[in-house]
Formats: sequence, structure tokens, C-alpha cells
Amino acid sequence: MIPIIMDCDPGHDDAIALLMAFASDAFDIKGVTITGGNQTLAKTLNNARKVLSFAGKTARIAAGSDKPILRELEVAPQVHGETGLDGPVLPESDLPVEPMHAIELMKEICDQSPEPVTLIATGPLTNVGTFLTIYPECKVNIKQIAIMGGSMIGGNWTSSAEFNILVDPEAADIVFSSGIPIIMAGLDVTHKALIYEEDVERIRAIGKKVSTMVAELLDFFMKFHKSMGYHGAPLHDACAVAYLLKPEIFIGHDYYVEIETKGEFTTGSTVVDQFNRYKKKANTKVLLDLDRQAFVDLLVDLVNHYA
Amino acid sequence: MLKTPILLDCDPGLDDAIAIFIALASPEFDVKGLVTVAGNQTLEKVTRNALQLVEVIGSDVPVVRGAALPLVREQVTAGYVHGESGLKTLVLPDPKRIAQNNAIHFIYDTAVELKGELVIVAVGPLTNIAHAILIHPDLKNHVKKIVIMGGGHHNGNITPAAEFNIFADPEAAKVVFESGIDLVMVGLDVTMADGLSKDEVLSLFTKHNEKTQIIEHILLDMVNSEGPGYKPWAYIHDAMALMVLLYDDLLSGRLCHVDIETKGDRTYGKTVVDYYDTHKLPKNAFVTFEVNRERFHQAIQERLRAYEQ
Repeated sequence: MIPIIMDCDPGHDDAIALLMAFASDAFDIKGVTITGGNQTLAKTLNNARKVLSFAGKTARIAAGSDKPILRELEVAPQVHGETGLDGPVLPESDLPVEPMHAIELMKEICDQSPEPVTLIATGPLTNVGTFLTIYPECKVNIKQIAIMGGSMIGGNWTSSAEFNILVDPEAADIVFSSGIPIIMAGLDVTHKALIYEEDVERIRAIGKKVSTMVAELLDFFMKFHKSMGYHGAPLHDACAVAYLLKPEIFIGHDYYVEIETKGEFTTGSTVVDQFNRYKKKANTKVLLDLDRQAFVDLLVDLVNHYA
Repeated sequence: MLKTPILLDCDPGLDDAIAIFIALASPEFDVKGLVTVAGNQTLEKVTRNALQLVEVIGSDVPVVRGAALPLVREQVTAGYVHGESGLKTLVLPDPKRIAQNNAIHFIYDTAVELKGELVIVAVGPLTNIAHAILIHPDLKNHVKKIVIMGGGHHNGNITPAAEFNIFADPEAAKVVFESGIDLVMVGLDVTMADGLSKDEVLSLFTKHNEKTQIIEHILLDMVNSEGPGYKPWAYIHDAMALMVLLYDDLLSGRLCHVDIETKGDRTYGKTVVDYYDTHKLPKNAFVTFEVNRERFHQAIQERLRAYEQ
């Protein structure tokens, strides 16, 4: 089993990514750390706890920073609603929160893991960046960081920046220059990981409580994306998880990637050296395409897991 | 035939040279002048190259010396692609003519005289055009459009984010993109989507003369000049921009809002194309994204083979 830390800001697609990760027997999830992003930290923390409790899962869960390293937090209520997880009504959770900052939990897990840990980060990279800056000695026990974030094809929050990177570009800069191998599930691939109405119905038809919740999450997520002119809902965060479970259904390319933090129009963009101008060693596997049907099948399989 | 009056603002440059050959052989154009700008090489070198090329072609088109230095930034040139002379290994006779001075007046006066019909084809850094706009803000009332070879949505070439012509004078590009003049952006998205292979260059001409030999020499110099990571093709960036005026079906694209990044430390000189219209800002450029490959090869062959006669 792959030892995993999931850092996230649920968020509809984060919630589904969490459920996929917890359903897989390939992952040993050592901890869940929470960042602000899709909504404020208090809300995303609450959402993560509710989703896990509802699914009958427990995990060590810790809250991270409530704002980016240098900037004010920007949230995405237009995508995820006021709660950050509008749609299904979930009961309150009694899942305890670790009495420590997220990066302390990350350190403890990395220090204690006999084999290098894989980080999955599906929100702004504030916690991961802070962790790597304060505890650089932990890098040796991190195998890779699979992120949802960035884009080569232009942004979704500005013309050049994707939301997760834009919210905390300095943290992203720390992560991308850390020397740890990065898997970047950015808009290049996530805009192809579209969930269509018929896929939602396939999940709803499973007819169990978690599958119904997932269908309801997708209903809400779909409504926003249809209003934006998409044909389906891009299930961004699930791509980072799906890649680790089934890399063979993705196409990616290794590139040197760095983060713009100073631009007037480009702050938060992932600058991908496609032609190897800088002659630098690739630091990132940039995912570019996926087998959509296989991705949906994987999602359905994992959701089927739940009672 | 009603000819399109054009000014070619250029920094020859290998691909500029091909654009000059095509411009001067195209009956659709009335070429009012070549204006030079420092870019691929220094102003003295590119101006000399422009004069030499025009004389080899046998044209009496005016050659006007433009800006020697960018608006704000330190000068960068592209000797790594175009060689020390700017025409790589090509050696041409010394020019007999000398270039005219005062490009700003030349651009403005030509535009005013043509009563809104002038099309500027700008295939170097945008310094001259920015100068003309800064000194004559009403230039926008007199120019029909500017076709720009520069920028790129998906990638750069001199840096991962920036294309050379924009990178060489981003502040000038900002002035031009904010000028309100109709712009057509022919960037790397299209100019690097297709090129001429060595075999295609060698089979371009069925009979040779001085001019076809020069063209072939330039194209062969261009094959591989972009370096590792690129296909071994002659990418004729500047000529592709020029030919958008000759063939309606050569390039396709859409109107976009485009900003020029002048503050970024990793994206300085990037054309920030709002492809998805995220910001709902006024569209200031028609950005080209797709090449009709069949048309491209056919067009290049047809235009350059005119020199076989």
C-alpha cells in the first residue's frame, strides 16, 4: 500500500477525490490535512470531516493555515457555494481534529513512515509549501507530490492562472522548486476529465447512501459548469488521485515547470518549458490527456465500494 | 487589381528575408516601404541586410532605418538563430543605396496619405510602431490594421513563456496592443505548427538563378536553426504572418483580449491571451491558432517559385 497524505480544501471535486482515495485498497492514508481555498479553512475542514464521517471512514485530520503564505485568501463560492460543498445535506461530524498544525502532522507522518510518502494536494499549496520550507529535511521521505493545479492552456481564474496556483503562488513556487517529483494534473487534463449527465445517473443508480451523495455533489457541480458553457463537469481533483491509481489511463510529459509570482497579468501561472529552453532537468510530469471512459469507470468502481 | 498598400516593419533576419521576397513578388501588394528595427540583430546589421536583399531582388522600394534600441529594456538580439550578420551564412554584395532616416514620420505620413488603407506588417520587435503611436496618438485613425508576427498563447521560444519579438521589446508591444488599432496576431501557435523540411526546400525550385539560390540558401540555413527540441524544419514565422493577407483560408483564429506582461520575472514579454474570455474585456486582437497546412505549403511554393522566372 502506498502511504499517502491528502491535503485538500473540499470542495466538490476534493470531496470526490477523498472518497476515491479512501475507497482504494492501494492507498494507506496516513493523514488528511486541510487548507483554505474553495472556501475558508473552517468550512473546508468541516466539509472534509462530514464527508469522511458520512462515508464511514476515519483518519487523522489536521487543519493548516487559514491564509496563503503572503496573500489574502481568495475563495470560490461561485463554484462550490457558500458552504464550499453545497448540494447534499450532510450530518455534522464528530471526527476529532488533531491538536496540531497540518505541517506538524505531515512531519510526524513523514518521520515515521518506513517508506517515502506520497502527497496528494488538491487545493492551494499553502500547507505543502509551508511544510517544505519549515521542514526541508522531510523531503527525503517524500516520494512525489501529485497536485491538481496549473495549466499550459491558459487559466480558469485569470486568463493565465488556474485557481489553486493563483491563490498561493509563492507556496506553489516552493513546491515546484523543491526538487521533489511533481505530477501536475492541471487544466490540460482536468478539462478532459468531464463527467456527463449519464455518468451522474450511472452513479445515482448504484442506490447507496455514498453514491447518492456523490451524485448530488455532481449535480451541483454540473449546474455551475453548464452555466459556464461546459458540456460536463471537469472533475479536477479526482485526476490527481486517479493518476496514482491508474497511471496507464493518462498521457503526460516530463517538463521543467516554474511558477510566476511577480506578473501583472500572469501571477500564478505555471510556466512550462516545453522546448527545454533552460536546459533544466524536468521537475514535473504534466498530465495532458486521459482515457475519459476509463476514468469514469474507475470513479464508479470506487464509489461502488461504499455501503 | 486593387492592391493592398503595406509597410513591412522588419529585422532581417532569415525568416524576414523570406517575407521580403514574398512581399516584393506578390502582385496583391503595393509595398510602400521596408522599415527596419533592431531585433534579430542590431539595427545597423538588419538595415544593411534589408538593403542588400532589396537590391538583389531588384526593387526600388524605400528602406527606412527605424529604432536602434527598445523602449525600456536592455537590448537582446537573436544571433543564436540568425548568426552574427543576421543572415547566418549568406553573403550578399555590399548595398549601393543607403537607408532613409526617420521611420516614425515615414510610418505616420504613409498612413495619413493612404487615408486609412495602410496595413502594417510588423515582423520584428514593435519598437517603431510604438514610437509612432506615442508621438502620433491619432495613428490609429489612419491605419487599417497591423499584422504582427509575435507572441504565442501556448508557449514561447526565447523563454518558455515569451516569443522573441515581444520579449525583445515588451513595453513597445504593450503600447501597440493597447493602441486600439485592429491587430492580427500571428504567433508561435501557428508559426511553429508547420515548416519546410530540408527535402521540401531542396525540391522547391526546378530551375535556379541568383535569387532562387539565395532563397534556397536562406531556407537551408533555417532548417535546424531553432535548435534542439524543435523539428528540423525551416519555420518561416514572418512569412506566415505576411501571407495571412494573401490567403483568407491560411490561418484561423478568434478575437481575444490580449495583455502584454511587462512585470513578471518568469513571464516577461508573454502575450497573455484570454482564450476563454475569462475577464470579459474588449477584444483587441484577432489571434490565430490553426494553420491550413495544405494551403501553407502550396502558398510558399507558389510565391517563391515566382523567382524562377
